[in-house]
Amino acid sequence: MENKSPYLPKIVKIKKVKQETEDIKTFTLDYKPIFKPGQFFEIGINGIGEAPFTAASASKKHFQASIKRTGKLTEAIHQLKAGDKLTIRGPYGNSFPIEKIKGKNMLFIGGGIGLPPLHSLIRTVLENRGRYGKITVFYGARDEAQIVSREELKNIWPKMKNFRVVVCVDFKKNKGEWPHNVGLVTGIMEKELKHPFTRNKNTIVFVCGPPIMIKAVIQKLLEHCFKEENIILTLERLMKCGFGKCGHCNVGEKYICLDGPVFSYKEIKEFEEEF
Amino acid sequence: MDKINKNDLLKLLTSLKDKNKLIAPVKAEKDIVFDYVNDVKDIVLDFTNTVKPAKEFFIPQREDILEFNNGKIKAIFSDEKRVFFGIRPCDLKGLCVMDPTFREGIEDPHYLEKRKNTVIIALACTTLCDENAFCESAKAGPVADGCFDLQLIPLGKNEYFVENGSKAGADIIDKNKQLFKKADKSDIKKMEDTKNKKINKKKVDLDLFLEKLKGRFNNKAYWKEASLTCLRCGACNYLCPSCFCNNMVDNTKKRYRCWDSCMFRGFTRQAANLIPRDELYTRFRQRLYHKYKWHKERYGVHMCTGCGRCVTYCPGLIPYIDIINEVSNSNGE
Repeated sequence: MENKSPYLPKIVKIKKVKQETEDIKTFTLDYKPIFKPGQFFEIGINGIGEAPFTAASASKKHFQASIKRTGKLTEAIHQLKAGDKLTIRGPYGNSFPIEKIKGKNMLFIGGGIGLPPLHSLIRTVLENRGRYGKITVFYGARDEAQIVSREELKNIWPKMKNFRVVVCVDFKKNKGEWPHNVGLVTGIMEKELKHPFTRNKNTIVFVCGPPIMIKAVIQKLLEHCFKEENIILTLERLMKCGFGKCGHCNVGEKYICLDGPVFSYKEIKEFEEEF
Repeated sequence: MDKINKNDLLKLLTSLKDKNKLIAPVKAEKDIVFDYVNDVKDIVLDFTNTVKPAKEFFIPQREDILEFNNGKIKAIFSDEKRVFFGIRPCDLKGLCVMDPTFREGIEDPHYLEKRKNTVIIALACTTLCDENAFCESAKAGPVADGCFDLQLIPLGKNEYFVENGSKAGADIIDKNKQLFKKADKSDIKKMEDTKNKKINKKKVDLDLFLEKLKGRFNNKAYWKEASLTCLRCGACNYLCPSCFCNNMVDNTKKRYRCWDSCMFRGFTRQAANLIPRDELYTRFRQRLYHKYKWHKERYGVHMCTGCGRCVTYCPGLIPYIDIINEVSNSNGE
């Protein structure tokens, strides 16, 4: 009976910790779970608690999650070093519509810590590059110091075939090493959505970021005639259990943990006020 | 078909107590509450309903789930076999409507094991328990139509008609045959009369309410006014026989589950202190929509059994029944 509890997590060792920005670290675990891109895990520390995090790695690879220091649990996780232990249970939730996007062009729009959850899908797509169309990534951070996945954004992705990356920062403090745009993501969208590489109304768009950004991005996409069902969001919500028992993530007749966290805008637009 | 008298019922409960823990209604100062019983003489048989619903024996207000010990983690379960006597139809239905939540997808054995290990002997109602009860409209009472192992339907003061609802119920009758008598035609008629008798003073139409809720969601002004006297105390959730929302909290030794309330501001608090339902009216609206619309759309049952406790004990005197009727009779906007 004791091992039957779905709340019982695995205890796993941290393999590597990478400082992404001042308050974001990427943790690589000595654990290779099988899951679909977009699914999430409950990561925790005994005696402190658990919270949901989307995997940034691909299935069957060493599990990775980028974690921003923002509260009690993440503060404690940030204290951990390689060799220390974390608890993890999952995967939970649905996944990105990997079948639906075969042969299609993709546009990823991430804000701040909202890029890592899209990573898992980008990595999965890159594993079978031939099956998919062009990839564009728009990424916005508060300032240059806040940019995550620097290596990918700067050196890896832009050098790939059929892959276009546009990075912008809200504020530019100094000259910096990045030749990026200044302004909000929605600002660059106005210009960049017209770019011949990205411009295609059948493109599937994946959006992840803070709610205020998501709302503005959706508005912009609709103005540019993207279809509601082609705007795919991965949503954040307080989740205690991760599998539909605690009631916290109930929105409409849906539970974000069971029916999401991935939704098309069409599916959730009725409850836009709830996010 | 069987019946049992009061004395034999107490004998039956005494014998069931040998192999099981017995939960039954007892006196606690001025109130009647459910509790574990050692002596069947403490059991109260003439009560209307308990202040607190029966759910706390299945999803306790606080329940240890995991235990931490030197870096190891162990799940905590109780395999206690129990007999729950005296649960009223509204509280029973409360369990039935939360069952699908705990069954869907990954099952929750911490709840389901307790359900499985508990034999339920329900007690049907013959008198009004609360001015605000609308169990008839919620199709929960005053007599239960399922979900029990045995149901006792009063036949006058000293006798009960015994309705069997499961194999466990049949076994109890079988093993204690000497305590049961055959019900005759007049008993059956009395039982049927009780089933047909209407005792509620309040009436609602939950299907119509659901229908009319569709267009009401974005009527901010309405929800703001309706929630004006809400004190965010969560009594409506805690006293509800079907509210199940729960929180997980750690201390250094254990991870425990405790009741939560969608009326609390922190209920949706996520990273970086972002609170999607920061405004009270959105939380007030959530409770009603979750109960009367979304749970029904997902699981086919309303998450309300018409016990009336949320109206009776609301310190802000929020007239939930009037709200239901008002929205039901509106043009749906």
